[in-house]
Amino acid sequence: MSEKIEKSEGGTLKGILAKPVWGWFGFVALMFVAAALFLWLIFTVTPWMKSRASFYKFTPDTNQVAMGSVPSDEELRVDIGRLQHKIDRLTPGGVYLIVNTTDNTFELYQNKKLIRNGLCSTGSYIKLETDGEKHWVFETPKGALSIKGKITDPVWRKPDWAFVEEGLPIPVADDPSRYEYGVLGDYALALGHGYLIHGTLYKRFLGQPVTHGCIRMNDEDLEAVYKTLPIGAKVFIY
Amino acid sequence: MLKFLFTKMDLQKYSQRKKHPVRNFFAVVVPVVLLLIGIQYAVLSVLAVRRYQKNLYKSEDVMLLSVAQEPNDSTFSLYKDKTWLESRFQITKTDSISLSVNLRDSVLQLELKGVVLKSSKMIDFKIDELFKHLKLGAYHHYFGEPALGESLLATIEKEPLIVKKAPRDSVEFANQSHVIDSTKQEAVHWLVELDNDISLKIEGVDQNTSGDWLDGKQFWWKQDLERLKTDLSKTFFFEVPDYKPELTIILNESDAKAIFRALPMKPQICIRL
Repeated sequence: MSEKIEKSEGGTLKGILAKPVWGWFGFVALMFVAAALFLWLIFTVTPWMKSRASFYKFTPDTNQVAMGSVPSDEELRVDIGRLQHKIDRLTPGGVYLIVNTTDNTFELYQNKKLIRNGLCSTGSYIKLETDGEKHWVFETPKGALSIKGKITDPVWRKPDWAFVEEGLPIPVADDPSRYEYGVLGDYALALGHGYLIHGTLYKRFLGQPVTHGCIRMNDEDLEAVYKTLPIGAKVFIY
Repeated sequence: MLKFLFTKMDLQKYSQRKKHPVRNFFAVVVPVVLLLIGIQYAVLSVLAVRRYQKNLYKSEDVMLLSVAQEPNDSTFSLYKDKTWLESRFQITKTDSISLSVNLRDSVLQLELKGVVLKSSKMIDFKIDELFKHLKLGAYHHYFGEPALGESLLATIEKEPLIVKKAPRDSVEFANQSHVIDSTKQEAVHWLVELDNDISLKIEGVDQNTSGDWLDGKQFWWKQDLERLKTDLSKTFFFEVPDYKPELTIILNESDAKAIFRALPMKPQICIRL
């Protein structure tokens, strides 16, 4: 008789579902549905509810607010004009240079108008470490700098890191091996603390961060920048 | 009769074999508990918004700058312009690079001493519903003064330092690689928590972002999960979670990267809605 029962129930859907394996399947499925519902509540329903405008239409207690008044449109317009004028005056009226160290680009402005832009190379962000405690970070300084000096046919006086970087012994301060001619292009503009805007022999690297902190430009751009920027002109680096 | 008894016993045995009391218990309890926690979280999160607003309008500066008669849209717009210019002018007195966010014109500007260093058009932006219903005093509370970034999180490094060991001699130098990988593709997403409670989210998008799409998503999921953990633990004990209004800006990826790298760790930011 029992065989009969199992046989007769095993053939129907009820019988199949009654088997233990389907019970576990159902249990796992139920857990998944519960978890999905929970996540839906958390990640969809809650943000949706929080973005309903009706929750934000808040009327503060008017008895507690100050009884001040908003300036008139005319007063506001006058203030806006005055402030805008103040801010506009802060932008140099003459010439200035902006250098973007992330994209390695520059923009040259004259009378608040862009007159030239192009590629340049800035600091590589390489941290050169020696066996000792000495290290150098080849980074272009950021902020508002100014042209401290202008040089034609500049000569590169190689600092210590230039020798350390190539695995060479560091020579004495005025050793002839410290001087390299023709590697900085025809012009250089000093930004202070040893940083220069100069030319390069490696023009294929323009647009990439490859320098030791100086700003490299191609010959034409360098000439334009050199001839446009006077000593004292602002250089904004970001 | 005996046959009937045997049959009944077999049926009882069969039905006993089917019973899983522990499983059945969990099948009922787990969904119910999860549902209750979810509902509790949703309700308390909405309450958090209301409570936040209530506290906002009770704060001293908001009350002081509130007016009995709210201005009309055009006057409010002029007022927003004025406060934005005031904030920008205030920032010009500092030596660090700041960020100006103009949501009216969808423009983001990097500024230093009043000089616009970079201007970037937003691709899109999303503001919290709270900001759409701000009254004058509350608007001034958020945007009347420059906000200070208290923490900065990003998918990219602020300074992408490459540590290089100095070669011992010229032979070792000759064997070193001197090529800098400038073609590295990376997702650019960053988050600034401002001192006025606002979370400013910047998402960089590009035509080639499909490869790093997951990196960006993972960054935001991680932030969401962190927040969810804190909020859920609060709502679990019937506490109202913290509410932080958000502002999401979608930018060109290279602009997002340049702006992020240019800003100091605690940037000053002024926003115009």
